[in-house]
Amino acid sequence: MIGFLARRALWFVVTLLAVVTVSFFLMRSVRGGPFDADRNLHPVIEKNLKARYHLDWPLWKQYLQYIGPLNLDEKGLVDGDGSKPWAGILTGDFGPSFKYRDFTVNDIIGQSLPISMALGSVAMFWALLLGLTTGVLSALLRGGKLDVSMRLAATAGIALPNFVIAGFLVIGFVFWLELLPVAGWGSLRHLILPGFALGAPFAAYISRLTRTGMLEVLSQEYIRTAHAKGLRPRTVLLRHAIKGGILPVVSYLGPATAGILTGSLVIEKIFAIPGTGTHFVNSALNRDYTLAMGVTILYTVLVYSLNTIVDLAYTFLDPRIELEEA
Amino acid sequence: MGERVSRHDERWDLGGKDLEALLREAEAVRGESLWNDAWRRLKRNRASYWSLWFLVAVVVTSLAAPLLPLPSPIALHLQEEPEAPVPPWRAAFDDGWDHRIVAGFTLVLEGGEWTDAARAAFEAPLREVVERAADREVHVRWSAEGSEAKLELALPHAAALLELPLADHIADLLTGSVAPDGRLASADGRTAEVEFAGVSARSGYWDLGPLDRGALWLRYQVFGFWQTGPWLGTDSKGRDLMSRIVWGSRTSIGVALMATLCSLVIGVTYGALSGLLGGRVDNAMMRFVDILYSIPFIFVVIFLITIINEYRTELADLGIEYITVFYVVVGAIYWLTMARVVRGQVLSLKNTEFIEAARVVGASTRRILFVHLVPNVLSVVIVYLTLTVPAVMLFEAFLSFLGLGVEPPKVSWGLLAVDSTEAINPMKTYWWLVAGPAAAMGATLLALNILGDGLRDALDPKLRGSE
Repeated sequence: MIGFLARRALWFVVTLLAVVTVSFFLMRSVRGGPFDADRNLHPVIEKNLKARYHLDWPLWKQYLQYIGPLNLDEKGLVDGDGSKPWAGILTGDFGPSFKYRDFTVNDIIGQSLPISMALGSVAMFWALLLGLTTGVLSALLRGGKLDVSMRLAATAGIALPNFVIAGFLVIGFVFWLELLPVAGWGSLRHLILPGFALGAPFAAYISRLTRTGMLEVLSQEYIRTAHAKGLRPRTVLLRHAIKGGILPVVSYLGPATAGILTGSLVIEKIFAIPGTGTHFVNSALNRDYTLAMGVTILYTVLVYSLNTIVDLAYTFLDPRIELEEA
Repeated sequence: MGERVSRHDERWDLGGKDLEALLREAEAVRGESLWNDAWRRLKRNRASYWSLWFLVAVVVTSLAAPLLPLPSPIALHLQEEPEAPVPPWRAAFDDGWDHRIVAGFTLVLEGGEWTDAARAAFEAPLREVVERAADREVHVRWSAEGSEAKLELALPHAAALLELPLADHIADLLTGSVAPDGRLASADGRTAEVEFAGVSARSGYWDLGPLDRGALWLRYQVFGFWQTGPWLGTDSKGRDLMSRIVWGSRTSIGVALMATLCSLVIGVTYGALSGLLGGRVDNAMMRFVDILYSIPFIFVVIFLITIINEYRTELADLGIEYITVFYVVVGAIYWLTMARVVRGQVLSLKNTEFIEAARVVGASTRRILFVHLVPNVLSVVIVYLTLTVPAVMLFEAFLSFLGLGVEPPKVSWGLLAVDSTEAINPMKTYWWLVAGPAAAMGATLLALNILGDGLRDALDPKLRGSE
């Protein structure tokens, strides 16, 4: 267990270093900088701006400054407000945003991450609620009409892009039934539709996983034993079958989380939700180096640690699995 | 391995038969091939079987797009007022005017309104010039209001894309020769102010390859300028939705196939190498895949694509199209799972009994590789491919949605889906803009998924029903 976590941590460092390095050099090597889109700046102003953000340094020096708690700037503190542009990501400081001049990346992420997290949680809630119930029902009513239609719905959910699902939802629930607000942010009601659209493909996949998992478990001998010793069907289902049946779902939760985080880029854009995804897309397009890097690093950390947690949870649910690999 | 021993020298216990007889017997009871068996199973699975045919139809339609008498997918009908999207069956297009060469004039009749006689009188001289230049009879369209009229002379059999030089030629001729003083007198003594509005050659298509131009030419030979109406409605720029869906399928299916091919080549090579080499090399190679797996790829892709966008002109100078790079980038992401799947299969096959049996019977390495290993790996690969294609199509839509994918004027299903989400507004819902592309995309992806499941069941009965 400790060994497993240690190995995971080691690979985590390697992965993170790879992500940071690759995206840093990819971004900086492209021509065009964060200040291009502005009106033609006076050369002196532009020079000062670049100096402010260390963009006039050679790349390797910028890289070192970005990574570590080093002070390569001989002038020390650069700005009037007494803050250094950045102390390096190792200190948890992602630096100032190039586009939102008065904000640091940490500020922006601090504001937008809770929003994206809320959206992601609602999506995950929908995915699990719908996926597990339909999956279990499907397995219990195998071959029936309900089973067939739910399986078809699941396949459709996997097949359709989430923004198309979002389109139908908006037409139906907002314009036709006039039940929910169309877009924006503020109350829980604003979260229902985007969360559902984001979670739908995962609900579909979870439903399929649950169905197959349940079918396999229901044909096991210990289930027959449980029935034979006179347990009520509900007890058999809830006590004995479900735990084994949803095992495949647990291992899918890691990829699902990653998928929900990624998918929220689009959903946030459709529903005008000021989350991290929106900021990322804008920052990549605007060359807001620090913000784009910050979000990328954040998501790598999130996905990696969630995957690790899922792997751990798996061993608790199924003691036969050992933490061998990776 | 020692020296190869000839089969006849070995003394095996053959149960009283000689080896020749045994071989003959083996020859007689040929087992059914993997593929025949799989095909039979697939046919029994009705949903998968029909999905297969549906997909074939989709691919054929998309390939045949230039041959079909569809309106232009990109002709903007902005010469009229900017219009609201038209629902299905509502309005009709006029017969292919949007993609032929049209010489336009504005005429103002002095003292009076346009009558049929007046039209005929003024039309004749203008028409004569154009007909002489183009060496064929032209089609005429009048729209008159009071004393002002618009006259359009269109060349038949001259789809603009195919005969652009002709358009220039006619424009040159008309600029010099028609009514230099801006006035035209008819034979019956009336005069009108004439203004030559130019020759429009809206091609109605983006730059097509020679093959597509040929197909387009063939289309005009067969159908003339007859074209289908807006059966699925039009979008907010007056473009025909059905045509856009069909032409869009070309891009989407193209991206999906090319990217999948990329992922196939990289993934199979990587996975097979890893599996065959085994040991420490295998370990290292798979660790590398693990690292790549834990990178949130969408971010790196967005970086990559903004970079490619930046160097678009340079790429164009090198003769590389943006879309090609796009294929490669997408393909380069989707090889990871393929590599894992192939490696796993190769590893497990390497030590199976039937491979050992083949080796014992004395099959050559090449025979083992191509007759026994490849088909078995192939089945897994094919199954995985049918699942990669929809994933890539979704990814294309995803990137197009973020404005990083296929770019106008080209169409793709992703772009159509983007248009459809933009068409959703509280004032008026243009449902057909959402329904059309969603149905096309959904049906295709659904069919691919069903076919993928069916193929998995058919090719690998052991896996039946599992995920």
